[in-house]
Amino acid sequence: MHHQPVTPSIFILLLCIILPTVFITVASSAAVDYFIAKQRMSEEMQERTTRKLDTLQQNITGLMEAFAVNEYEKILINEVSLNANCAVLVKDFKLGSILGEAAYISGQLRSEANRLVTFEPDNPNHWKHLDNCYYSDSRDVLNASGELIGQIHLYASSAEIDAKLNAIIRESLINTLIICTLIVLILLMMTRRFILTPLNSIITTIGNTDKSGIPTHMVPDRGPREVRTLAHSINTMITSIRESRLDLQAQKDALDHMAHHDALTGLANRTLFNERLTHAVVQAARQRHKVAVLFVDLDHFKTINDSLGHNTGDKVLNIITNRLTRCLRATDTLARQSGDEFSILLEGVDNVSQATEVAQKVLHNISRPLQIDQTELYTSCSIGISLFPDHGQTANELLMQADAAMYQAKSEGRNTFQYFNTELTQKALDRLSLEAQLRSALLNSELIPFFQPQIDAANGTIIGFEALARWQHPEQGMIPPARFIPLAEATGLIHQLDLEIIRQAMAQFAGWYRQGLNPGILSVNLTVRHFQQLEFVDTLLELIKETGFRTEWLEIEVTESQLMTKPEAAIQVLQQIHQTGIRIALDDFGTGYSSLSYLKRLPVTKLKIDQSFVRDLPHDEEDISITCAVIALAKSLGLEIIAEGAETREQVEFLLDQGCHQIQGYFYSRPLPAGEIERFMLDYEGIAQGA
Amino acid sequence: MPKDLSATFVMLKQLMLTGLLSCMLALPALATERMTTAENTVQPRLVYITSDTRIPFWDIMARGIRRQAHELGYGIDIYSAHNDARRELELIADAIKQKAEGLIISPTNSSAAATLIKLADRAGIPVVIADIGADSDGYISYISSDNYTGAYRIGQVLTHALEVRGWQQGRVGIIAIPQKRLNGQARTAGFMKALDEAGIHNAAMRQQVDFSHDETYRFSRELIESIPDLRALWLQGSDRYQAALDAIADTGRRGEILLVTFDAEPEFLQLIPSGVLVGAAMQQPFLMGEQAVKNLHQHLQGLTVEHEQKLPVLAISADNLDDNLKTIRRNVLGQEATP
Repeated sequence: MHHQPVTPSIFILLLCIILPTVFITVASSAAVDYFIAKQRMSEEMQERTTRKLDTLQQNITGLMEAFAVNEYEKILINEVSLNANCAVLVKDFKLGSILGEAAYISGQLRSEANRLVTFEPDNPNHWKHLDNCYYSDSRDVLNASGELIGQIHLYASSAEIDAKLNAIIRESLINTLIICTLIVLILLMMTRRFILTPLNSIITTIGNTDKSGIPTHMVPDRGPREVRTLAHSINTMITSIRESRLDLQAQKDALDHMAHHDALTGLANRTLFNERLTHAVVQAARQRHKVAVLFVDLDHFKTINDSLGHNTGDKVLNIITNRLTRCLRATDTLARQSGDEFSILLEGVDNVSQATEVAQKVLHNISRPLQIDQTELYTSCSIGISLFPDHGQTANELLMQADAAMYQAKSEGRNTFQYFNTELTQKALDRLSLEAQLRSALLNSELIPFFQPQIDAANGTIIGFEALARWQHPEQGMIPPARFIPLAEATGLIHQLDLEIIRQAMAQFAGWYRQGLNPGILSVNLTVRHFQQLEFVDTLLELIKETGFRTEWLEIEVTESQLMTKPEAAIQVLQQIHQTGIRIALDDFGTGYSSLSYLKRLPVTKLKIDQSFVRDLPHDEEDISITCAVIALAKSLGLEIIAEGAETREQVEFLLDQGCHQIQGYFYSRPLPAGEIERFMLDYEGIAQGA
Repeated sequence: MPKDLSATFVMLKQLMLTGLLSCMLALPALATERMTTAENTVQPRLVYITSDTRIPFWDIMARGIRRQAHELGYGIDIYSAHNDARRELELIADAIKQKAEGLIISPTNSSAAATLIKLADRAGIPVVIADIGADSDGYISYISSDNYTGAYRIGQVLTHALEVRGWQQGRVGIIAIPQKRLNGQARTAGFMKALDEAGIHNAAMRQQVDFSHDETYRFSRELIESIPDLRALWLQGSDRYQAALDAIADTGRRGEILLVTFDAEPEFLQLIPSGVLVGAAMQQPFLMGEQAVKNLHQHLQGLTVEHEQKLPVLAISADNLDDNLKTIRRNVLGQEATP
């Protein structure tokens, strides 16, 4: 505990300042008065002595002439007794001459005991007494003929001055005391009235605070200017603090809202949904009701986002939000979990049919066409449903179960809903497990490139190979790309995965070239994320240098849909890549929404017709039209064209007929490990030469 | 007791009456300031400083002093200051130089006496004050007359005389010495007491200023003329008795107004029996001089001396004159051979 040092009150401080100041001032004044008075009294005494001497001279001269010694001695007695002189002395030269002395000396002293003592010329103490007198003066006594017949010496006592000065000191001290007391009292009263009372009032007001420590009332604006200024400043501060607090509260509310709501749709977010779900579970357990959690995920929303941009995607999400809201009761909770995932909390559910009904209503509303910027879009959703208490006891369990059920609905063809069952839980766990294993696999080099040849069908030569990632799991064996590529994309591991496959493929290709083989061009798939990083070119060149590869052997494939999400950013990187001599192919062309203007600006050297258009050739008219259009487009833009997914001779011949010579697909070979490719190259070279 | 220089004239008359011996003694005192006895070289010496030996009172006192000094074996120097303060101081200075055993002083006034006593005291010489008094108590003894009692008794003499004549209703006029003097106050008080006791009223009082014959005559005449029932006059001095008698005679009241005095003149020995004067209160200067020496002697012997001593004043009328004649001659008039 921190102890405040004991500080004196302002009252005491003022006393400490005022009292000595006033005392010193008044005492100084009194001292000056004292010395002035002393000076004045000394002068007065000298004047008085002079006058007395004059008087004595007048009174004594005649008596001295008449030898009336006793008479003038009486005058001396009177002089000392009445006027409180220190001493008076008369030297009578005439009597002295009679007595055979220089002078007959007589006089009176005033002893220290204030008694009159007759002066004795033979007594040294009496002469000493004269020396101790404060002031002395003398007069000559002359007879009528001007002859010196005597002298009068008057010794003034300091007793009178001392008494007066003592009185002055006493008076000054009393005055000082009274003045000090009065001044101090007045100052303290004034201080109390005009400073301390307003300050106390301020302190009291400031001390009266609310829970957050802010004064509840404004400080009274009274007292002298400085105190009023202080009060005004404090009031301004209080007002500012209140306003700041309101602002803070507003910000806090906003943050709280942001923490619990989704910024785009304004819906509850995952956190708020979890809270409400937790609360609902408790309530439902108490009331023996059911709670249903619907996990809604839009089907192929990623495609919309990638192809039409995030703005469009955001608009879609807002429309979906409105549609979902209209499907629900006011008491239900709709939340956006992430991206295109929504969750719905239905409380007070008595039977499963209620949840089913909501799910069906949602499916119906979502599947209606969306009108965005004069473009009509179609989407659907997959819904997973979990129930309390049937599928879980906690909010987390219910959400996980609904999520798993949603994946099940997706796997069952999308645009449907699925209730949770325990099998789904296992799948969800498997997915989590797979993610962990994928991370481990990247570190343990379990991911290796397989190579699928790309053939010039016109002359049967190998153009090159596309490197495709394969996971050689030590326990589960070969894991198909469909299982781990989406997972890698979802978890961000795709970046690392791409680079690992490229590095291995480059090293393999460089080895083949060194062996004297001619594998042609190496096509690698790269996620568009790489092109959003300027330093990717350096990374790529570094890999090339590291593996002994060459830029002219490399062709980078990037999917149309990915490239079109942020084409401007990608163009700059692709230009740099292109300038190094690396080829660039646009993968899955036709599935996205490529802008022809962008296509013109992109340094693309090749278009790759997506296998979905090739699959049903040459029977599906729509696929035929698209394929023909893409081929025509490539030709018109001066780009190479390659088709993937060719599995039959018919498809190959059709494509050749349409002018697409470069073909990749099972018709020639499935993706093969490196070891098999070497044999394929040797075999195919033989076949080609034979043909 | 007034000691005015104007009394010199009266004193001369007194000298003629008191005979050759008295003249023999008095003349040297007037001619010289110092009268030294033959034994002055071996005897302890006393000094008497008197204000003025030309005044009979002091001369009589000086004789008393001399007589008693001789009797006690002292040499005696008698100095007259001629009523001069400087002279008086010079005399005391001389006395101090001579290392006198003791001093008897009849000062010119009580104030001067204080200085003389002081100077003597500084020299360690004891002082006896003979009459006049001193504004100091530094003396060993002060000899004076009992003025109050003397005045009281002479007042009784007068009231008795008035009663005998059946004049109790008449009033008494007083011609007084200055009443600022203590002896004047004492005399008036004692006299008034006697009048009060007898139921006789005092009419008025005049105070003498210059002690002249004219003054006394004028005062007496004013009182006689202004107070019809005046039956007596009392003079607080004796030397101007003739002026009062002249005024009574001139106003045609001889035999109707009685006269009493304080102090005495030698001719009173005739005037009282003849009824011219009813009576007189008589101081005893010779006795005072003797007593002064006695007291000084006592002191020099180491004995205790009465600090103030009042000697009786004789109230003399025709009734007791004869009985006190010897005393009057010796103590009042000094008519005794001095050794």
